Amino acid sequence: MAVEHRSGLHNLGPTRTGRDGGGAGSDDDGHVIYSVTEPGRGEVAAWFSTPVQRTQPPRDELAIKLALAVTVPGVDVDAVIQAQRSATMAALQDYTRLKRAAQAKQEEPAGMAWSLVLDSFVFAAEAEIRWLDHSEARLRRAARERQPSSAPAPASVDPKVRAR
Amino acid sequence: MNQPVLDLRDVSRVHGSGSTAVHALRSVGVQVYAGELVAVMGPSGSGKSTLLTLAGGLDRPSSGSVLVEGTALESLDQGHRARMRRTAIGYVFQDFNLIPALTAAENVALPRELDGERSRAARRAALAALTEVGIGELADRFPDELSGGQQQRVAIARAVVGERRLILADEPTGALDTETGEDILGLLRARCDAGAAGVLVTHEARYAAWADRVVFLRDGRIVDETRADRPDSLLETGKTR
Ligand SMILES: Nc1ncnc2c1ncn2[C@@H]1O[C@H](COP(=O)(O)OP(=O)(O)O)[C@@H](O)[C@H]1O
Ligand SMILES: [Mg+2]
Repeated sequence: MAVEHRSGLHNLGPTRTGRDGGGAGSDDDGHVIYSVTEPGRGEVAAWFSTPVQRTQPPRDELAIKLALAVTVPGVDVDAVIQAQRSATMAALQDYTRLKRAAQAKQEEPAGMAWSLVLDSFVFAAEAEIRWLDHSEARLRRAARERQPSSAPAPASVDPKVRAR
Repeated sequence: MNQPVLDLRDVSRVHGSGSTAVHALRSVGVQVYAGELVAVMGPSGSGKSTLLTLAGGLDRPSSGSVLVEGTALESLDQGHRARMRRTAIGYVFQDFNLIPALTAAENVALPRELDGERSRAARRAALAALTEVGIGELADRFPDELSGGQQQRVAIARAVVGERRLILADEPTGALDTETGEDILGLLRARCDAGAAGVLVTHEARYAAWADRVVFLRDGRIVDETRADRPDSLLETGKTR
């Protein structure tokens, strides 16, 4: 058995990528090597069988920015939303491209693992864009209700589509 | 060679007139080249379907011009436009639009037979298209004997049969679960990688992300655009497309 470690785990954790300058703890192919000691087995089993704690919402800069954009006078909220939507969409396009590249290596456990991690990025980016869409729709409805007649009529919403 | 397959030039579409006029599209310009998949995103009522029906010659612009492979659709008479629709342009809709009384192969073969092709040749082309989308073995089933995802594959086969160069898809994943939806996007993507030009209308970001470019519509106007071919990648330098 490899190096003893107090927790029973040796180097279990997020893979180091080239980006953080490391390679520490990984082999030539970038795989992190870990092994489990006897006393660690129970702890590992417990770790895997316990759901990850949902802490209180983390500090969300985007939510804070949008909240401020809505309250601070003179900010073009539509522009703030669209700029973020485009940026997040571009990231989502990148993840999707990486996913397509990863699809070829799905049979290997490492390929499947990478693919699942990318899925997680996709879901997170998608959720952010849906929240932006939702915020925009709410703001527009509120604006319409504030000035029912004076605003130039926006293209009316097709009721059969809205029902979806 | 560097001519776009689809070229919308300053296209507007107004429904009705006077105080009840609805400006479904306002001065929209979009070019889609061979090998490219472009996604159009926007909330309900933003003009996505209008853009697609204009691109496919199912509707005419109030002003501006729609060119498919360099030919202005509005310059064609009824007969030529209909022929263009059957031979150069393929459609995929959210609700599949398959004819219930026809088998999968017959649904796919129909546009070619309407175009005067011998039915044996049309069936051969249909089987090839169904095989390409992964359901060759279901060719003789009727739509109600197929799952939603399988029906959408038939619809895609029908849209691509006969090497059509422009594929237009309006919410093709709307009725499908996430994984099946991704499969359908994979098929559209593959077709574009093989040289077709594609336009995908969707309100779901995860599907739009398969495109090379994403165009955002609001109230009939293009408000922004993203590209996927940025030189930097967030995570690693994967091969481009
Ligand atoms: N035949 C029509 N007559 C009148 N208004 C229409 C017609 N078709 C579409 N519209 C209107 O044009 C706008 C854009 O519609 P559409 O292109 O279907 O939007 P989307 O597909 O983005 O939901 C909407 O306001 C819709 O109500
Ligand atoms: Mg629509």
